[in-house]
Amino acid sequence: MSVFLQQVVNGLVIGASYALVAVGFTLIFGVLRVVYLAHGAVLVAGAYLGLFALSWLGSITAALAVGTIGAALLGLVVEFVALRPVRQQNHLIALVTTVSFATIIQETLRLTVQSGQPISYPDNIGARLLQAEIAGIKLHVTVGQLAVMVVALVLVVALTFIIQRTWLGRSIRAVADSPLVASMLGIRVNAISGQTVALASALAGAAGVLLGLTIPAIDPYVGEHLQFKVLAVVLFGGLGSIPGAVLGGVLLGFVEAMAAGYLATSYRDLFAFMTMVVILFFRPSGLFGRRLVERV
Amino acid sequence: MGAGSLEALIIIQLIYLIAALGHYLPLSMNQLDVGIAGYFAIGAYISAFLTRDHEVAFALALIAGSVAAGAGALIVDGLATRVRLTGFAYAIFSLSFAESLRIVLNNVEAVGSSGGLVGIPAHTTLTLVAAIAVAVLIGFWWLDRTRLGHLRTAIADDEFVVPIFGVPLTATKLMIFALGGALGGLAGGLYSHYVLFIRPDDFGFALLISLQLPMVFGGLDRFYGAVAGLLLLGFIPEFVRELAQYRLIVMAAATLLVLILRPSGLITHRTIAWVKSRLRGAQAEPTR
Amino acid sequence: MSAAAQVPALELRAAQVKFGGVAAVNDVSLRIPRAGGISAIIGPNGAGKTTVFNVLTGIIRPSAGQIVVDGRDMTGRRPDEIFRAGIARTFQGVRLFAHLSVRDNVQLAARSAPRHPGGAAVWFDRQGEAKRRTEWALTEVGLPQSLWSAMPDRLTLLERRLAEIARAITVAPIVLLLDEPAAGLNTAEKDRLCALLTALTVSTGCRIVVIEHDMKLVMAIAQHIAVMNFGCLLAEGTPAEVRGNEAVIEAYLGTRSHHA
Repeated sequence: MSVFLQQVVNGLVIGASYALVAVGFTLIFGVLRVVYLAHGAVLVAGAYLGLFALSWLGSITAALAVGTIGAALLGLVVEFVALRPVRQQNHLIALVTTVSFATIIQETLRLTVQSGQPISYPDNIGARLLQAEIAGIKLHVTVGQLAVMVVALVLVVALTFIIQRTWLGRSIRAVADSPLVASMLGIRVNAISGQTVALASALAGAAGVLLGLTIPAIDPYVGEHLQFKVLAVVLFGGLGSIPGAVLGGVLLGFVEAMAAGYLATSYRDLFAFMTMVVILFFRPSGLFGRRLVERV
Repeated sequence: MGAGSLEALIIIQLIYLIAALGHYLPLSMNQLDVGIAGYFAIGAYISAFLTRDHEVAFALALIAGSVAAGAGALIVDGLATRVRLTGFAYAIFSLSFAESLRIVLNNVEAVGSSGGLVGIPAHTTLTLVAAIAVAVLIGFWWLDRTRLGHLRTAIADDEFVVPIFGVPLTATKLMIFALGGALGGLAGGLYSHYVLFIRPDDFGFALLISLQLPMVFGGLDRFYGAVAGLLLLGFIPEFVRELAQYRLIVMAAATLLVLILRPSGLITHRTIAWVKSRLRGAQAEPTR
Repeated sequence: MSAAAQVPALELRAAQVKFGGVAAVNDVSLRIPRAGGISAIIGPNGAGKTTVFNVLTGIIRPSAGQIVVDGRDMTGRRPDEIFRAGIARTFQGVRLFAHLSVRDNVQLAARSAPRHPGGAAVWFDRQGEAKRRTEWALTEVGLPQSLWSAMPDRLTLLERRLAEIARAITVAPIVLLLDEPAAGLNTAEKDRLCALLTALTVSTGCRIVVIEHDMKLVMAIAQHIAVMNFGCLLAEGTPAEVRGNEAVIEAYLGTRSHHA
């Protein structure tokens, strides 16, 4: 029973990070309606930035702040350079430009930091073990894992608040509905697009820092790998649907945690890809949100 | 740079060229089948498995790998066409298959799982690869003059109209996809019998990028663009030893820059028309 | 002229097409007679005329109703099957393949002639029959040979229209659907087009159906007119009958009786 509960906790932690990344990802797809594959790279950049902050300033909060803000700025650049010029083109072009930019980010990190060796966050901070007792059952959770759950929750709630309650959020929703009508109402669609990517990237940057706190080593290509799993989550929940992304992320986290005992690690990745195949084949519209398949 | 490594460089780049041309076929019709790394892997593994463990003749093994890869493409693209996927969805669908294959290969004992397949007999020579590459290039040149080539151009121009003139669209597309996959598999077979040791992780995202980016950079309107792109971003940088570790970033940056300024790539229909008119002298308006 | 004794070349029976909640085509029935001649479908923009063409050529599947080609039920068949059954069309604007020469555009269709069964014949390049048909079609529409190797963007609008028509007639269809063939042409070009259409019905024996806005042109060349509005068929008959139909006058002709 305690093993099971422990796995539940693990699942929540993993799910929280997936949800954090997925929410931003789905926001970009829902608002910009364009192919975007630089999210993973932005996440990794956030992780690296967070590490620098940690080594200079020594606090997790600083690391989170730097990672988040740095990633947001990077997101602005990505939108401006790789998306804005090619928004009107077909999917292939946007796919290639965002992948190219992601490659540039990843290769830059590889070439400049520790000669491409994986980086590690200092053990002492993230790995400190906390113990709790619930109904007489002992549970272990590290500070890092706790940070993941708390920060993810806070950020997702903050983003939802921004989307639902602020002027920026209203503009974002307007652009997501119809960029044409939004622009006729005086909304500067380009600026909104940039800010949307920045917001999403901020979440990705935070997720990167959190990843550093919970995983022993990070290399520049970790984000690329993660991106596809999160893409499965986004497809599952429906493009542009934040609740769908959260639900999907948490679900995937649970499934992976449960499967950890039974399946080899690499087969777990297979799950995400097969999910995408199945979703795209049977229900291209996902559970909620708008469709990815254009019907002629 | 020693003669040996020059030869190695040329062989690998020619193999990449063949695979890239296989990827070119669907891409040029705006069908985002990006599973080329998977078709390459199928060809590599199946041909190696046949020659190493079952003593099949190299030529036969190559063909088998090629056919298997073509079949793989047929399955993936057949399914995708069935549910009328387009654009990004198509890309993710095909990529998922390719990545799933890689993961499965990482776990199958018979082909060495993640440790890889070793001891592949060496059969690939420079002569062979060069001959095949030349044959493929000639084939593409000739294809543009055949009905299938015209159909490919028509589908790329205006897919909607094609069936209205009696062409079975799906069947035609699938045939072209299978051809593309088969070329990828052929290249894969040549690859495994050159490097003599393959691992599933060789056939991942990095391979896809190395094949796709130079082609999109070069231009997808005609296959000359793909060849030019591979030459500029694949072949030539290999010569500059100092550039080795910057190869990928240079490729990505160059592609990004070109796509922003010139989304159709370096060589477009207009470029080719311009070159042709220069070669034939200025063309007068057709007399009416 | 009564075509009741003959099987109509093309028939639409009680067709319905719904986009979302709107009926783009609402219970429309049309009989296109077999005999060579010209029919016209007229009506304001948005009346559903092009949608009717799309249904007839199998691009859109009607939510109700049938398409009958030469007596055979072809409802729900693919566009290429309907083409091979003898229905060809052109498009609003011109939709030639931009990167194939005029000749290659036409030859693409020529190779799909009913005499070639589907399958392998579609792909392997056999000259001969297709080449002959292509050259016949291009000559028939009056395009000079010097233009045959040109790319579409080097042609004038009229020439592109003619090329599109050549592509459609190359397999000698029984019905030729032309979507606004005269749009954008000047008077001289329109006259040339009309002469060509009338000549075509005689030389090939096919039935031409045009969608047109130019009333003068329609009244001049069509023997049979169908009027649509808001997805419904308002009236059908000879030009004189339609001109005199009150519903038509009220809905359409009346406000445009001076329109040339």
